[in-house]
Amino acid sequence: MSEGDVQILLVEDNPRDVELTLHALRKEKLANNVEVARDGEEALDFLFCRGKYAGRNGKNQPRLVLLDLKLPKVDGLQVLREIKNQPSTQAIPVVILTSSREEKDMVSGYKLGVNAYIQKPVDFEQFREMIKEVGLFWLVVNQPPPLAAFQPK
Amino acid sequence: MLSYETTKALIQIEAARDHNREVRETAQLLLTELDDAETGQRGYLITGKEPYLQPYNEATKAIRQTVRSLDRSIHSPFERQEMEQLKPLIAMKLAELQETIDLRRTKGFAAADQIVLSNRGKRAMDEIRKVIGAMIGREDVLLDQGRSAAQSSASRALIALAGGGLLSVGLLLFVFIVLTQEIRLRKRTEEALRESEERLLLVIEGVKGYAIFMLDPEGNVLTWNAGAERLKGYRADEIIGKHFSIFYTPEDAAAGKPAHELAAAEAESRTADEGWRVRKDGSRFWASVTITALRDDAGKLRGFSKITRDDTVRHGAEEAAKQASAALARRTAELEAANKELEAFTYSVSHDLRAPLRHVDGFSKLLLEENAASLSDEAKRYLGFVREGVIQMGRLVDDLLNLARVGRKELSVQVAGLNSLADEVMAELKHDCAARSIEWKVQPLPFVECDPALMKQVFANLLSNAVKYTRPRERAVIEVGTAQENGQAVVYVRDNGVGFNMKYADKLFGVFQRLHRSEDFEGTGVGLATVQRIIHKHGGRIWAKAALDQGATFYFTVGKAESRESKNEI
Repeated sequence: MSEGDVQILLVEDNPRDVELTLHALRKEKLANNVEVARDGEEALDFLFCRGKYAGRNGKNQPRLVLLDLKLPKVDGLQVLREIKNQPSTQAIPVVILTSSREEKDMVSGYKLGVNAYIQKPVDFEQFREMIKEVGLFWLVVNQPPPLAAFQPK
Repeated sequence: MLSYETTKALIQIEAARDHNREVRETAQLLLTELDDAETGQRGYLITGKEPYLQPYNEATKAIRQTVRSLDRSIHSPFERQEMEQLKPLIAMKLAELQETIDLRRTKGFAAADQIVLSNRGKRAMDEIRKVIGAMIGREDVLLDQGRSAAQSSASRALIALAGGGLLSVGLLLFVFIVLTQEIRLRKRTEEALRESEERLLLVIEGVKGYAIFMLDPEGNVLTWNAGAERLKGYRADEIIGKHFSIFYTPEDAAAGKPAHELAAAEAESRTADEGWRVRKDGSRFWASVTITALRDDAGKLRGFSKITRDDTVRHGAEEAAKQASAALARRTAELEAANKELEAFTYSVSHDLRAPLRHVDGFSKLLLEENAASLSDEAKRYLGFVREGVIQMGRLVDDLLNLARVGRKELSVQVAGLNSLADEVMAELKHDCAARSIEWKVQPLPFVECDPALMKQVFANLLSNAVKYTRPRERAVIEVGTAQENGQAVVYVRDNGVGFNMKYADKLFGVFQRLHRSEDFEGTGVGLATVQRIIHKHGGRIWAKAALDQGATFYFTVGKAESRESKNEI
């Protein structure tokens, strides 16, 4: 993976949340290669190299998708479904990051194969701590899926 | 001509026998009536009470009639002679009876008794018995003779039949004998039948609770009883001959219901119906109706019987019950819908409130961190308050969210040991307040059928409250155990904390109700409301006992206890 490749795809429609999340990631020096998608459609365009991302190299998938659930156009669960349905994207770790702890959403998320489900805390300290732990775990501790994991069977 | 003579003889013999029979029976009746009169007289003489005279009066009237009919039916010289003997005797007897009665009435018992003791009446009665006895005896003999005569006459006819070969006459004879017997039998049967029909009609006419009437095959009213008049308001002379559709509501009549019901009764022999019917005055009543088709022996439809009962009261009660139950179901559904809506609203509000709170807290924090140099101490203090407010509101939102979630959640029930749940909670609490001196006393608790995640919340709330409200104590004691309350096993959580005044106990479990100032003890006032909701969802009860500064004990019950979980198990 070359320098400049996107490491984290942050799918979040609220600009304040984007800013707070980026701030937290920046503090942990994890914010260099973050791409922000502001709705579900943009997220899917990025991952499947469509629309304004048509020129993107689909072989370089992000190492982590941080996915909000309440999204304009295509909602978070639908984005998750499409990611986990396609061989070219299904190995990408997806972490749902949402205000909701609605059981229905948690059940749907896990059934669709989400890798983690996190409720955003109100307390900024806790939020920052949470972002730090998630970033460190998926980008540093976790072994990323090998390229073969993105090939069709 | 033998046959004619024989037949004639037979007819004469039969007629004579009928006569003998009649005389015998009338004489017997006379004797019975005399006995009745005497019985009535005696009753009155002894008691002096007028009601005893009624049988006497009836009997004397009957005696006079019977004497007349006996007098009419006798024609033989013997009988005439006996009748002439009988008449003065009966007159004497009746005179004696009347005399004693009059004496009893005017002069009292003793005077009447004098006549009785003279045996005048008894002698007359004895004589009467003798004459009537002779009469009956003779008629019996004559009857026997008649039977033998008829038999020998028939034998003669048979002999003539055998000799003369007059088959037709023989047959005629045979038919005659059979017919006379048959006619006699039929006459008796018909009489019995007519009597029973008359009795039945009397009963039906007198029935008041039911309208019972008959319709011809077209549906016109043929008969009308008292019940029909009472129920429907028409007199018999007003309604007989009218068509029965007059009883139906205009709507039912227009829809052809009367004809339809007759057709149903005709097809199925009987039909039952319930519905509104109209009285003469136009008022309506709820009728329970049975229509039965009436057919003759040949199966031809002769009409219908119709029995109608007024069931308005019962129907009203049923309707009221039905409406009440429907209203209740509607209300329940409305409440459930309102409840769901409220919970959905609470959830949505709580959820949507979290994002702006996070922003307020996040940017306040960033302001403090990144612009600390340019902020005055006062500005920093104010920002601190902003963040405190946000954190408090965040907790409130989270608690409300939890309360709403508990309300909506379906219980996922399994058998769980309460000790395990309490232990998990205590482990977390001990970690959080390691600096404090708390003595934990935990008794063996039962296994219960419950939703373990929710039951853990109960312990989390009660135990963290115990930890919180014992904070002023140098040495806190928190107990978890079981006790018997009104014969029921209950679980309790007790502390030696600040307690509360029992006069506020009713506020304990209300949402946002707090018994302590937030400067003293932080909290949102949602925790115990959530605990109560969880316990209620499990079909249990929760209550508390406390005194100000004397600690508090929370008791609760959960479903039915399975067994005790031993502390030393595993």
